[in-house]
This record gives sequence, structure tokens and C-alpha cells, in this order.
Amino acid sequence: MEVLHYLWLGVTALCLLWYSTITVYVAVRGGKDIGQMLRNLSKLNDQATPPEGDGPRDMKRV
Amino acid sequence: MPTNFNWLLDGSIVGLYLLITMIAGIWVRRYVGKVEHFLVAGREMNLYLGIASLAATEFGIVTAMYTAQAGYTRGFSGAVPGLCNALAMFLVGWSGFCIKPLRDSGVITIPELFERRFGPFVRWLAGVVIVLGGLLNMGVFLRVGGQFLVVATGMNVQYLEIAMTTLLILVAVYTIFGGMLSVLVTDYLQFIVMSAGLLVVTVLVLVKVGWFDIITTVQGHYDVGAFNPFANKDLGWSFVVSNLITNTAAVLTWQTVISRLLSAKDTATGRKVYTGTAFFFVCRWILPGLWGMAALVMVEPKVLDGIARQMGEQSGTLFAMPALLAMIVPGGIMGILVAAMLAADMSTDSSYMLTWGSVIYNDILAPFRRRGNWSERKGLIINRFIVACIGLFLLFFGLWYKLGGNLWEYLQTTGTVYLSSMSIMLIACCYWRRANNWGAVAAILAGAILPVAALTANLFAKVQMDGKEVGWATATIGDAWVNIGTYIVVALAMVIGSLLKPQPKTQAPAA
Repeated sequence: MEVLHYLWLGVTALCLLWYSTITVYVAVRGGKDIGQMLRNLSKLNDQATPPEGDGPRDMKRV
Repeated sequence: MPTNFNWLLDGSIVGLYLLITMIAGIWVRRYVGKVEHFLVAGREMNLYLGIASLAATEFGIVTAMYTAQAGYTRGFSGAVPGLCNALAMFLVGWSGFCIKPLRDSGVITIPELFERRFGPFVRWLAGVVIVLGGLLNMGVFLRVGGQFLVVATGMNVQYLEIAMTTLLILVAVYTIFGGMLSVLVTDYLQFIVMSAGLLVVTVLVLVKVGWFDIITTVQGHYDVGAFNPFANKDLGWSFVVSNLITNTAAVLTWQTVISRLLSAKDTATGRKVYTGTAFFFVCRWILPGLWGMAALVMVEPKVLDGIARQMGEQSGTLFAMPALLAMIVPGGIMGILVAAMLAADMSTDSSYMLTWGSVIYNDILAPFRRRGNWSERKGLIINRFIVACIGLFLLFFGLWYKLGGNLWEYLQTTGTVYLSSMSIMLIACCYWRRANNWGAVAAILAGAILPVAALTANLFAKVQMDGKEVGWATATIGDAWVNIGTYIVVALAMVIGSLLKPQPKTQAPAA
């Protein structure tokens, strides 16, 4: 039984360690991703005429 | 029930969080120029934003409630679904199984891929099943979220409906305006707030309750079954296998997960989002599960019975975790906790409304869209209208539906309505040449009929088990076996249906 106690203690500790690390890392890098995404969309919208205007009949396929 | 929630201090923290979220959500509306921007953020989502968004979406108040309930009723063994989910997510992301051909195809939804292989009718039918299964699943989110707030903040239960309605309106406003772009940006903020709250409260629980007391108490209640799912009389092999299957199917086809893959800027990024988020699914079961186990130490069962009566629910185990938090979380941190839980709930609700709305627009309305020659502007208006309608459905379904029994089992059964058929169809679509529309239709019908029959049997036929009234299918067959059986029958239906259809002459071997 004690082995199982230590196993779950290890899993819990790993969760706290991994989650706190990934939160800080994603908070920093995710902010940059948002900036990049909005810049790219802004460029795409500038190229499209008119914005929110008539587009292709069906959805664009990438 | 007494609580440490201070309406001035904690209320200000929550109000500030809500204000920032609303401003960010509505501000990005200016970047939405096309339907593709609204539904998949123009496929501009990068890795870390994808991880934040997927993690935030897949953790709502409802998640915290059922994972804590699992911890309270099953100890550490209750976290098995999280381990299965993480394993499935990592393996699928690492191997690219199904998700590589899916993202490479450039579709917006899974039924759109089905149309290329199985024809327009299967696309439409798959869309209907996905929406039905998804909305039934999502229907309980709002009520459970409201119940958490009532218990944790000590708010009068009479205000539960008002709190639910206000929360939904806030979420609906930014989702309707900004679609996936608003969802991604608010998810990012919500991920940070939610994660901070989860970590701070977990440390607080460990400090105030203590690891040793938690271990001793769960062992006293469930013996070795608290630590080993195979030794737990309520779980066992069937539970583990059932969860492995369900979680693999969810990773492959659950609309909110798949929408991140399809919003990713390329296939490699989508796969990295999967592998990078995989371990989060262990955390989302372990950490709130620990809160549930701590509640087993601290909260008297009669307190939970009283809360259940007040809420008009059959079981009090769902309220163990918020009751514990109301007891031990001090003012100030309570504001962070409530903001974190609201963040978790809002990110889930917004994403669910949008992604199920995307299936309605992209697949169920596909025949009308083609016939009507819809412009991008009209498409955006219709998408926004669909999101608003889903919000209204959630509000009314959430108000009258009372959940009996274990929340996770309800979510699993309703999810199986579409997870079973869609996952088998996706695998067949990607990797089996003989798969065709006969098999697809048979799989959809089998996948819908069996879980609905089990749910109906549970609702209308009750039997006594361990002194409690339990649904017939749950008592005689078991939820796990219903689930496993559904996947087996759906796979057989796919194979038999496909083989029964005569082969086209062009595929016949040369004489």
C-alpha cells in the first residue's frame, strides 16, 4: 500500500511542478503568439476588399 | 453555509477580472473579417496560444466539480480518466493518428471531411449527431457552475438563476462579436487566472488539511481501492478500459479539441498543441481531486445532504469541494479562486458555444448555404445568431435539468452519443479503403441508439442497489459496459454496413 501512497505523492508533486512551470512559460510565449496572430490577421484583412464584404460562395480550404 | 467570501474585497477582484475579459473579448472583434476568422481564427493560432486555449477550454467549473466529486467518492483512483486522457492525447499528437490527415485536408469540421468520403447526407447526419450529443453534454454546465458559486460564495440560492444568466450573457456577448478570435484571446487570460487560482488553492488545501490526513482518510473510507482503480469495487478493469476508449475518441473527435487542431497554423503546430497539453489532463483530475479528498477529511456528510436538499439535487457529493473551499479559503484568496473558476467556466462556455455553432453552420446548414449563395457578411450574421440560440438553449436546459448520480458518468454517456460513431467513422475514413456511406450511416445510428436507450432506461426504470434508487442500465449492465459495448457495436456496424454495399465496377479486379 505504501508504494501506492508514494506513487500518488509523486504524481501530485509532478502536477504542481509541471503546471506552475508551464503556466509561466505559456503566459509569456502565448502573449507573443496573440500579437503575431493579430498582426497576420490585420494584414489579411487589409488585403481583402471590402472587409466583411462578399466573399467566396463556400468556405476557403487551406 | 458560512463562507469567507468578502463582497467588497473578493467582489472587486472578480469584477476587475470580468471587466478585463470583456474588454479583451470585444476588442478583437475588429479583426473578424470573414467566416473563417470567426470559426477558426483564420488558422493563425500558434503553439503556446493553442496550449493555453485548449487547457482553458477543457477545464470549467463543471470539470472541477466532477473531478473533485471523483476524488471525494473514489480517492486517487478517481483520477484514472485524467491519466487515460493524457496518454491518449500524447500518443495521438506524437503519432499524428487521424489528426494529421484531418488537419492536412484543410476542413473546418470533421463532418466536412466525411462528405468527401461518404457524401453530403452523411456530412449532414454527422453534424446533427455531433450537435445533439454535444449540447446534451454541455446542458448541465451552467447549472453546476452556478451551484459552485452559490456554495463557495454563500450567495442566496434564489440568485442562482440570475448568476447563471448574467454569466452566460457576458460570455455570449464576446463570443458573438469575436468568434474564435475572442475565444482564443480570452482563453489566454483565463488560462493564466485559472492556473494561478488552481495552484494557490491546491497549496492552501495541502497546508490547511495536510497530505497525511488526506491519505489516512481516503484509505479509511475506500481501503486500497482509493489508490488502485483495479481494486476499487466501483471501478475495476471495465472502468479503465471504458475511459481509455472514451478519452481516445474524445481526443480524436471532440469538437472543442478538434477546433484547436483545425485553428492551428499548420499540422505540426496542431500536433505539438496535443503533446504539449497532454499532461494538463492529469493535473485537471489530480488537483481538484485532491480538493475533493480534502473535503472527505473536513466536511461532515450531513452538511452535504443539507446543501443537496437546498439545491434540489439527489446527491450531495458534488458539493463537497465548494463546501470545503468555503470553509478554508480566506478572504482575498477567495476572490482569486472565484475569478479562477469563472475564468475556467467562461472559457469553456464560449468555446463550446462557438464550436458547436460551427458544426451547425458548416455542416447542418451546408445544403442551404450552397443553395442560397451566402456572402461572408451573411455568414457572419448567421454564425452570430446560432451562437446566441445555443446560449438560449443552455439557459433553459440548465435551468430545468436536475442531475441524478455521478456527473462524469452522465457526461460520458451523453458524449458517447457522438464520440463512438464519429471516432470509428474518422478512423475508417482515414485508414480503411472499403469504408463507405452505408457503413457510416449504420455507425451513426448504432452510436446514437445504444446510449440513448441506456439513458432512457436509467430515467424511467429504477431498481434498488445498496439502499439507493439506481437506473436500470447502470444497475444491471453498468455504465462502463454500456460504453464499451456501444463502441464495439458501432465498429461492427461500420464494417458490416460497408461490406454489404456492392462494390463499384471500377474497383473490381481485372479479369
